[in-house]
Amino acid sequence: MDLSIDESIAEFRQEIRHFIAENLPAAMAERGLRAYHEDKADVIAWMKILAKQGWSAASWPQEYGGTGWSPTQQLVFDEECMRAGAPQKPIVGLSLVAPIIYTFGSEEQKQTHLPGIRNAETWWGQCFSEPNAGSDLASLKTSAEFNGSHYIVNGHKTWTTLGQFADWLFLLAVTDKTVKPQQGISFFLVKADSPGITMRPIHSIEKGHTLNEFFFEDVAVPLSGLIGEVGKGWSYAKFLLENERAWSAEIPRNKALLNKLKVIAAESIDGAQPLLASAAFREKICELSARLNALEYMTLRAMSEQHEVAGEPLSAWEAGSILHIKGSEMQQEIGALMMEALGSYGAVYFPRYLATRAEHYPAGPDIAHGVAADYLYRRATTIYGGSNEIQRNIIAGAMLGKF
Amino acid sequence: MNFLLNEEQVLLRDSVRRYVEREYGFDQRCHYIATAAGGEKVLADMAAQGWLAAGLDERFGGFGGGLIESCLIAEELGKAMLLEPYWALAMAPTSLLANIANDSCLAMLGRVLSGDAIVSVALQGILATDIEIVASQLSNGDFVLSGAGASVYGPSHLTHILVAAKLTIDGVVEPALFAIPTETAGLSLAPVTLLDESTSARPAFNQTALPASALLASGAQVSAAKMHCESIALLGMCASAIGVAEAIITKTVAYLKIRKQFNSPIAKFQSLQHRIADMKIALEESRASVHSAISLVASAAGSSLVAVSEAKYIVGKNTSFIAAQGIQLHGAIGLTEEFVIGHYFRAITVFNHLLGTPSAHLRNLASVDDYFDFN
Repeated sequence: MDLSIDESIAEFRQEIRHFIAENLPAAMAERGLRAYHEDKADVIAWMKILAKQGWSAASWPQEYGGTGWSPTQQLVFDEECMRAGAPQKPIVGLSLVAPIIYTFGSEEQKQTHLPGIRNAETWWGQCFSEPNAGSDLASLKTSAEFNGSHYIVNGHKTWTTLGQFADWLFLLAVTDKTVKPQQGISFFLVKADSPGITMRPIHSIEKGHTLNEFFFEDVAVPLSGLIGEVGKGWSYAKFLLENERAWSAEIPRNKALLNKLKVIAAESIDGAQPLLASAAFREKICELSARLNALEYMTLRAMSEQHEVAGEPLSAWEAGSILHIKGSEMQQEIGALMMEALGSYGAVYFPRYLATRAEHYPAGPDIAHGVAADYLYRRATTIYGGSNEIQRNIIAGAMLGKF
Repeated sequence: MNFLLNEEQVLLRDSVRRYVEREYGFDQRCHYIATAAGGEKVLADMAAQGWLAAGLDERFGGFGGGLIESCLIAEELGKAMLLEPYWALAMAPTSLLANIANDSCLAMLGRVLSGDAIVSVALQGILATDIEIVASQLSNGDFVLSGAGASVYGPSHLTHILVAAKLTIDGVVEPALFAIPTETAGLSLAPVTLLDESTSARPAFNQTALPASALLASGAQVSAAKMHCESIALLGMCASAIGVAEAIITKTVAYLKIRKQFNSPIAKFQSLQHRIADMKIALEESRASVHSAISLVASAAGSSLVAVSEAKYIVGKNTSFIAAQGIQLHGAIGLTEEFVIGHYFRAITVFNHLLGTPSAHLRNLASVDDYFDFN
């Protein structure tokens, strides 16, 4: 164990910060800092800027176009992008399905899909959850029956984030009903415009559109759409979640949210003194700040345990679940304080992102624009990726073992 | 950063763990309390094992370890709730003496490491910065001390206390460090028994005369080394409290699995599963906040005091939660004197009241303006 601070990280951060300042268009940054849902064109334009630099798929192995950065460098890169308000990376493709493709996919699948993801030419949607398979994912019902040449997919998937942009979907479907669910599920890549697929938007409480449901009716998927082996889909899905576990605290976003909270609390709102003048409010910020700092060290620890080869972990812990719980609750807590700091303007809906304030926009501090929508949207954080109740079950299960 | 323990660190941790399992079980601890005995043996064992030097550089008699190693020891000893606190009797004094490292300090350090001297530093935490004890020098070179302020911990077998004072010589005031034998006439060192049966004392000086040799060092380096030592002591306490919290969780997990109600081990009940999960989360978060502080204190970065206050706050709040839930999940048996869980609760309560409560540390953080900058 060695906790000495790597001085080269500060230099790396400056290099990234400089690059972003030079290359991120101001209009994109403005939208990102307001935390409005991403615009597809912005995401693609930003990804192309990064791709030119060789940074669009930072976390991938170098042989597939990754950067070779250490996990800490990757974290710093994400922090700086978020801090500057850069468009969100299309993580469903970049961080969820791409590792599945380069780890379990065939040569052909790698060559077909990876360049498009790296260069932001193809957008991906995840089709795991179903109306009756949420936390209990293993009970999913969507089926894929082999007819001798194709898998014929039938079923209903839901909560597909930004599915409206998707060129491709990846899904879990039952290929063998006679065995335990964990052994009868397979993992497929499906073109989103395949005949038989229909999409319906789901509007959520922030009055935005990121979620969608997909209906599959006799959708023919060629053999080239099957990842790895038939019946291994459940273990690939577990790998996908496990692969991301060190990132599940969402440190970059939490840092950006905390920064924004400080900015709002420094403003005079509703004619009152800024809340930063209140000792009680300052202490609330301090508590979150201290906990965020600890969360960052938990994240660094999880990364270290994932990447170092020699040595013994300090303790057995379900890192992914713990980081997910802390990181999701923190986003909601910071959001709640931002809303509190906005006073009466926290109740106002700013209908959609506008680069310049329109005539009909509600009066009030400029900083208010976008906060409430993000606050509402972030109720999702304690549900997605396995609800916090499921995460607590996992932690307790590991602690209690058999009894 | 690498968070995995290397081979030496695992060996060190395991040797301390085996020691407390063998020598310092709950019954043994109760026996030591009842007979007011055992302290000398434990301290001699610590010296013999080399644990007192665990945080020191090799040139000061250590074995290449640092704050990580001493915190590992503090955590393991914390699980047994040692009545002789490692952070007070090993970490704080060795850090202070090695940091100043003049001849007098090194001589005293040698005596501490060999077990010849048992020393505790009068600590006041990082929240109070003003030294309240004053010293002046007589014409024959002797010193006279007056005042009181900071406290020493684990005083039952001390040979010396290390005290920082404001020394005035020829009208110039500067911080000075004295090593004062506990038997010194005019020094009042009445021990107070704390809730967890450990002891502390607030040394009080009333025109107390000391020979010239009692002065170990003076000047700005004393303030810097003292402040550093306060941070080390706080982190050692935090590590020790984390050890207590781990022990609570281990006991509680075992109890949930064997205790049956409604014809079922109570571990089957989801509300209790989620509670034990929250205790675990609180434990790992505590550990992380100490890691953050260790990395800053060890690199002597300017913001280390903030990180130490953060750690004391988080470890304080979190271990209080863990200790309270430890009793709750045990039910009424957790309230009894003969069962260990209540003793853990008292140890955590004491931890929360020494060197700044969580509220005091949070208030301290809230007073740091940089904390509210966009970064």
